[in-house]
Amino acid sequence: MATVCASPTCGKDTESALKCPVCLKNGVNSVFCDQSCFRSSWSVHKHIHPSEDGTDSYNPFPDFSFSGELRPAYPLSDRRPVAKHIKLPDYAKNGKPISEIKNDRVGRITQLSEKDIKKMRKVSKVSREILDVTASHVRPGITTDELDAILHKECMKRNAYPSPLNYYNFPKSVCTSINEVICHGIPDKTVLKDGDIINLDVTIYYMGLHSDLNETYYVGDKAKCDPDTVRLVETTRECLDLAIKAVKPGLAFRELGNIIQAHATKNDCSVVRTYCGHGIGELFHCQPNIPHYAKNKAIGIIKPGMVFTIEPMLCLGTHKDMSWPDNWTAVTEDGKKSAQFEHMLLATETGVEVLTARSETSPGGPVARIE
Amino acid sequence: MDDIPQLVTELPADGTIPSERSTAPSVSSSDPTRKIPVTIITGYLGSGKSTLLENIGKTSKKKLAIILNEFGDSSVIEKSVTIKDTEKSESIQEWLDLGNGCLCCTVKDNGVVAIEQLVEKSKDRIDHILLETTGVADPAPIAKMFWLDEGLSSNIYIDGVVTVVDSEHVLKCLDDVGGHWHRENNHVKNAQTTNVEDLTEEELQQEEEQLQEGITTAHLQIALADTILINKYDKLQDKEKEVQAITDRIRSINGTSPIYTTSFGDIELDLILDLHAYEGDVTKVSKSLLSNSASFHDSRISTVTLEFPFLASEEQFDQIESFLQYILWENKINDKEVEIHRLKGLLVQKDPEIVKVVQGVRDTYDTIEGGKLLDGVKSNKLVLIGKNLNQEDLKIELYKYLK
Repeated sequence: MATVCASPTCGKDTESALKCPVCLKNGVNSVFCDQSCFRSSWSVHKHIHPSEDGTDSYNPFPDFSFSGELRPAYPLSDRRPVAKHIKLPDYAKNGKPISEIKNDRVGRITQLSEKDIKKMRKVSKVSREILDVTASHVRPGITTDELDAILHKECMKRNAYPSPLNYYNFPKSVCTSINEVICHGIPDKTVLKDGDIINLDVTIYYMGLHSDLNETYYVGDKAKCDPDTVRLVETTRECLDLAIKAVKPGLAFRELGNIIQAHATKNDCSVVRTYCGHGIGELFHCQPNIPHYAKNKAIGIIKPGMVFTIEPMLCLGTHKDMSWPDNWTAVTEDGKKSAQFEHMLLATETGVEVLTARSETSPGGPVARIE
Repeated sequence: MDDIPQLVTELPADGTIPSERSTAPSVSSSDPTRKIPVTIITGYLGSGKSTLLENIGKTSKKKLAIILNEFGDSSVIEKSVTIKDTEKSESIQEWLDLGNGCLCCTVKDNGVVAIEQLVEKSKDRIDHILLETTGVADPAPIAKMFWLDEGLSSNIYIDGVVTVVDSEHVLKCLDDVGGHWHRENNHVKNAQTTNVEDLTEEELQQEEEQLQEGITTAHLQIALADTILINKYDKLQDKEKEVQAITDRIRSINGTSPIYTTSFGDIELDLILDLHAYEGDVTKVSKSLLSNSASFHDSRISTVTLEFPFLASEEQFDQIESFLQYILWENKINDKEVEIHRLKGLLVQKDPEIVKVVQGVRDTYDTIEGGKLLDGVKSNKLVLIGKNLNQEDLKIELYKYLK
């Protein structure tokens, strides 16, 4: 029985049984002559599909060759307002962290005073609380924008500024990095699915200091059942733990990359090179630079009172990264998954204090590998 | 392009929508092993850098990308590059696309990333990159920027720093204590920077302090040089005598790098390109270490050679590293304040033979293993160029670590 080809530019009768799978899924039969007829009409035809998950979202970069399956889901929500009484970092107004740029040219590693260390502990604790509350909402069906809204509200409740907001014009209050996104994912209308992994990278500015931490979470039970995903996430977690164990006064920062890469390689994961750990305090990012790969030429020796992050990013495939056209979202070049964990650390006289340590009730945490 | 689904007769049982695209987009296919050298060309305004570059462009058989000026002035948004294809005698202007900053610390400078992208885009059109700094630029931060970790698998590497000095003025310039000559001749940051607002208090203060001490940008450019050109030879009256005086003076600062005289930048390109000055080539480094021929030392910045017996164990390599980390990162030797601008060295253990090359610029250093010991090398050697350096203090400090 002949039907009319559903292509608006064709309109011929056809004996074809080929149907658009998206329409089929929605219970509609759209028959096309062949794939080339379908392809040439795709840009028009696709608009009859109801948008996924009932949201009116779209991919703002339809011509971009994405490396994996994830797509941005725009429009972004409006910029979230910050309560008037909250102390702002210098870039909050125009996006340019002038004090950081100036400091980069001097580049000394600071050691915090006793008084600042006390403050730092307080700020760290608040940032951990905010991450934990936000992470407790991670589940299939929630959007990254909803997570951003939760985080922003938790920051406001505690009189803290969400440090990513407007840092070099970053549009949101937290970074949400799903699957192949290595880091700096922008919260949008993307809906989390069972089987995803998501990293929440939280930094707050409170009492004049920044505190920075992140964790990767399994979304739903499917992710926890995939051996490769679990190997990636748990290896990354262990890499951070091993590096932290080595931290003590007298150790050169360059050694940390050797430790991380050795454990990653042993577990058949690669280490991202482009992004590194950093000093933190009055500034969001400052000296030292702490690469996570082996044989780096990083400068400096760990001394008591130094505060810095270690935040390894590992991948199942290539370590090479590329950027989405939003100039923020860093993804793996092969589209395979990437995970990250970060703690903010204080070097002490004898070793290290994990300022952003998990509490008994923190969501997430390690799961057993699947052999 | 967004994903176009594959037409089906019925929906697969698992409900997935098949994609027309069966494979992921191919990852860039350029030859990952080819690396393009970057030569940093530094020297005061009027020393003849641009003429030198022009001359290289005319005589070289290589395809060159010349990046002019303003480098190191990290706030300038766009930078132009001229790519000269000497075979076709064409010049193409390109713009470097310098992205904005980044949320997290990135390992590479934006300028480096932009040049990597330029090389990626025009793979076969570039054999060598020449980067001309501003006259007032301290070349060390730029050299550090391009001295990339092996792990970053970049498509560019630093070849070396070539410093051009103006034979007519260099002595006056190096003798300038207090900065009068520099200010009078506009060789200061305020006079040469396009965006004066971008200069920080600290930068200006540092410049002023150095001028007061008599450490000029010329001192730094000579200290960092892997090759030095005494240019405008034609302008000298009593050529032999004057060149000798200039050579002696330069040697007192940098005792190891080769010096050549040139007019209008006429120089054999082999002498300034493909220096591999930051690598672990034992032969090249051994050669440059042998030639510390300074007859007297500039009291401000000088070259000092430290020799000590071959190492007896692998632990001693670690001890030397701790020593290097202390002097480079604490800026102290035997409790005296020092500044180290350039470091080169050779560390050897005889049995079993391990040979390591040491390279350093300011606080960044590396030890590179590999290579064979040359005949005639009888001891370990470290050559340091910097401020307040002397052999006795270095020895005392070294033996605090070496046990």
